[in-house]
Amino acid sequence: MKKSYQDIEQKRSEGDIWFNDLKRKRSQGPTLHSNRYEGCSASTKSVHAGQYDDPTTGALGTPIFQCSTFYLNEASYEAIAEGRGRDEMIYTRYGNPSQWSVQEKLSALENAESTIVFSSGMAAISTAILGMLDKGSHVVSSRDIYGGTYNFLYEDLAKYGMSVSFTSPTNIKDIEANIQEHTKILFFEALTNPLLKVTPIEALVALAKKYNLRVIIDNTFLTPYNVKPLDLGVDLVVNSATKYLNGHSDLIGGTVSGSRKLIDVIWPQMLKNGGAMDPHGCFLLERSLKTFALRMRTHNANAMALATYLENHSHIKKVYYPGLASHDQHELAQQQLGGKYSGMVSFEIKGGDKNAHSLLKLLKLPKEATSLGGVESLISLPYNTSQASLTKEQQNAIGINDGLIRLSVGVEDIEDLISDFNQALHTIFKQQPHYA
Amino acid sequence: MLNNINIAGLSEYTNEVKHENIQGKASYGVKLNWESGTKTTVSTKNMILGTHKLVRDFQFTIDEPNQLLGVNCAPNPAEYLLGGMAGCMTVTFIAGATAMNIEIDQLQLEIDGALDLQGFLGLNPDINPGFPELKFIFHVKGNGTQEQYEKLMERVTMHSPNYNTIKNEVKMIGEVHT
Repeated sequence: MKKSYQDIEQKRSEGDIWFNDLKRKRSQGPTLHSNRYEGCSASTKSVHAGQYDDPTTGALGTPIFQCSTFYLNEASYEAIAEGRGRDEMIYTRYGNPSQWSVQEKLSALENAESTIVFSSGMAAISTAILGMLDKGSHVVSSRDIYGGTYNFLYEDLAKYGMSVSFTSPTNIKDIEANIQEHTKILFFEALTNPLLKVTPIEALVALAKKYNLRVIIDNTFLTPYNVKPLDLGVDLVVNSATKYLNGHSDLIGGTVSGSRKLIDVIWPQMLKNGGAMDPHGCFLLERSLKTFALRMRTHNANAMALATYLENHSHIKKVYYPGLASHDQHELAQQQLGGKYSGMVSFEIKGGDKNAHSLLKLLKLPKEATSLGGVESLISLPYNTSQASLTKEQQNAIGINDGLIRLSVGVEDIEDLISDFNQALHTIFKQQPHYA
Repeated sequence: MLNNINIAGLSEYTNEVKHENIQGKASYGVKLNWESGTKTTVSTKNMILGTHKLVRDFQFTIDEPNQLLGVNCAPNPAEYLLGGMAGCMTVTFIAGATAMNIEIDQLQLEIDGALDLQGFLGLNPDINPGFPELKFIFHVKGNGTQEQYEKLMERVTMHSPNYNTIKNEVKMIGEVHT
């Protein structure tokens, strides 16, 4: 029921109503029409869910509603008066059919009641965190958290009279030891950057229940194709849509998904902070998501093959990949990820950062660039990119060792990728003594 | 939004509680620290609403007037009691007015009461140390009728939590820890 006073207008005009008479209930969305493909699997949802086919022209596919504002009418005035502006078209920062369509597709993929798309991953993360916190609140997060999130938590929360503690992303006892009286949320990444540590989501949710807290998971490295945090009891899931969700390295975006109740709390925070996604960005994201499951299958398979290749290479010191039996948390990864271990691989090359830099220059297919999740392989060193804001001591504390390389494995042919690594590693080590 | 009250949100919450009663459970608490003389500081404890914590990071000071041995630096306990009741009655009144489509321009609530300190001082065991009677007046300006406002006042007496805490008998359970 959309309106609060549906069927009780007469009673209301007689002045004889109370709150128990009000009719509006929360529903999933907002949406122009429900189109979730609920019984279907990831590929079908990726292709079809959320799409808005224009009834006037019969055009197949969501049009780009490139407008900043909408005609006001009786329905919009009534929605403003009742405080349900999220369900009407009023102004594009509030909502736009291009946003609603891609949000519905994302909700279908996340098993969420509601989603908001943002202009960047950090807009999504900062808005979700601020929206959930009260004056004086405290956050428990991970020492391994993405540098942008770390900076927001470390540098900005104090400006709002809030605070944060950073701890292990994997040790529940350490996380529990950091919970304080004013702790309100636990903010963790499902798979950490860059060492690919697996956060035990179900144990984290159980801990949150014990202390009446909320859990927010950044699922950027895994995506809903590999794990659906909401199914595991998490309250909100955030993603940098710039990465796998869009997947073509041509868009900046972010998402927050969860229950309609909580997303309705995030929405007014988004209105205040800005950060809504532009309609054209929504179009790009929705189009990219049609191949999301297809791409993720290849990312996962290629990463597994490349991780195995690297682990067997004599000049690679260590490989971090949750799909490998050598990964510290392989058992948890098997149970939590069900055989889908992401397209990210980190590894340490013998000879430290000097050889790491050489490798990046010699590789022809992986592009030396920050970011991840694109169709093209991307490669970078965490120490001078994603974790550059940490001191050397902080980097060492979380295991960012000399020679660590982060690789986002693309969807190129795996034979070509392995061949490229072969030539690059051979070139580096043939000039060095004892090379076999 | 009419009266700056989100009636759609209130409707959603009401219907949520209707189907999931626990979401209507709200646990409150305060912790008072005696400073000196009659002066105390109150910190609000975190709430639990439904099954989740709400951080309540607020403090306020209580004192007594000079004539009652204080230094008169803050309202006294009786004033906080009446203020807490008035705040709750006002929320109930304004949300109810919004549901009834009444636009309120001005709303003030006066509450008055007199108690006899003979009870506090132990001079007469027959005298109730508390307020035997409280009078309240809503001063309202808006597009409603006198009849509608009286109906709203009746609703306030039926539904306001703080009003009913004071009006009804409350089971008090006290302990001393040393």
